[in-house]
Amino acid sequence: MNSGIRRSGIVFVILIVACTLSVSWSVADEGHGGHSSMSGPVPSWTAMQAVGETLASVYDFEPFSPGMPNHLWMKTSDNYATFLHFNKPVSKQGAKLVFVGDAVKGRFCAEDQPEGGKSGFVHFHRSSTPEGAMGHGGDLAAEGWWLRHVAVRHAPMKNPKTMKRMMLKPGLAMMFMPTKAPSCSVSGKGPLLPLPE
Amino acid sequence: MKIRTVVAGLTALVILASVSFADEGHNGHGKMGAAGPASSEALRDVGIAIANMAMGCATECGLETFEPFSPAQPNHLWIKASDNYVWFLHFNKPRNFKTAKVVFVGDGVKGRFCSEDQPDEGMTGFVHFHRAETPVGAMGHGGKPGADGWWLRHVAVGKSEMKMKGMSIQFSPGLAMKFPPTPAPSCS
Repeated sequence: MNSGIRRSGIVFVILIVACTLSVSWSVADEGHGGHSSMSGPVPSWTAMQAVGETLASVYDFEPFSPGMPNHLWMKTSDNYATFLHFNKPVSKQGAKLVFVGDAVKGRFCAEDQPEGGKSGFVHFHRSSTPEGAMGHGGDLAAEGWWLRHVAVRHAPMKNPKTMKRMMLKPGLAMMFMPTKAPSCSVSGKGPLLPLPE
Repeated sequence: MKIRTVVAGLTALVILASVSFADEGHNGHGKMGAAGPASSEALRDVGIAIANMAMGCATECGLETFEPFSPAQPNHLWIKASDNYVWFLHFNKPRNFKTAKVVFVGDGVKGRFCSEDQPDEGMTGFVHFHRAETPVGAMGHGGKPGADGWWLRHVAVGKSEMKMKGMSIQFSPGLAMKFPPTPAPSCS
């Protein structure tokens, strides 16, 4: 009788532990806190195929006018965004992801370019562009976004200067259409400097 | 068997990995305008392309993913963009689980656990430091002053919850400034 009760008690404890584990099924349990089971498993094909759909549900921002049909954007804060860049409009079958990246809001001024471009923000795209025109660079102090691209595959593209075909390698795309920005403080369009006493 | 299938699939994709986007890509702004709903094929490619890149398949396919931390974090997938910059996906469970769901995207900057190395003093989202080496079973958050590791910025891509040290942190889509901050000491 006693052993039966003891056995029931053990089963009860196991059930409680199991329930606790399943109830607190969150990022922490097998996520960032799950470092005890660290290894480098091969990603699940099924899970990977579902990533795009999850991202698309929140990548609903359009920082440029007109919009870029080959991008998906997420506004993550007032002055920061992340994006996915495809080889053709995302609505088209066969569109492939070419870049992931992020963007910092700013002006077409050297003073606004993050880390002077050293960390990868080499390309400026202005917020508003006339229909049919490219939005790269812009007038002095034009409003827009500084973009950093990370190629996820070899990316053939046209060199905007020579219009010749060039190949971007996977990784940080430092050659992604650099737009050399002018200094806005010299021109008087930057922040006002204190007058000398 | 499963691994072989995955590897075979990835290898096949590598062959098709080079895609032309000159005409309809970033240069194709003459065709700017409303995109319309994303195609299912395009969305399926997102995770596959990222996984390929993470496994080195964009250059020379390997079975090993890039892991900035030792031991590795099975619920992350890392893209090494440069020697000191990474981009990542963070799942709610190990990435080899079929039901793993992405909960954060983010990026990381290599550095030390020093306030001097924290990008923009954390104001742009790099609030969390993870040290490069951690004993098995221990958390790798923060570290000793000057420890090598990565400053991470997380962007929540849905609602999620993180439980840590008895605390519950709720995330909603956007920059995750509440992702467990690790105040760093000055090393100078």
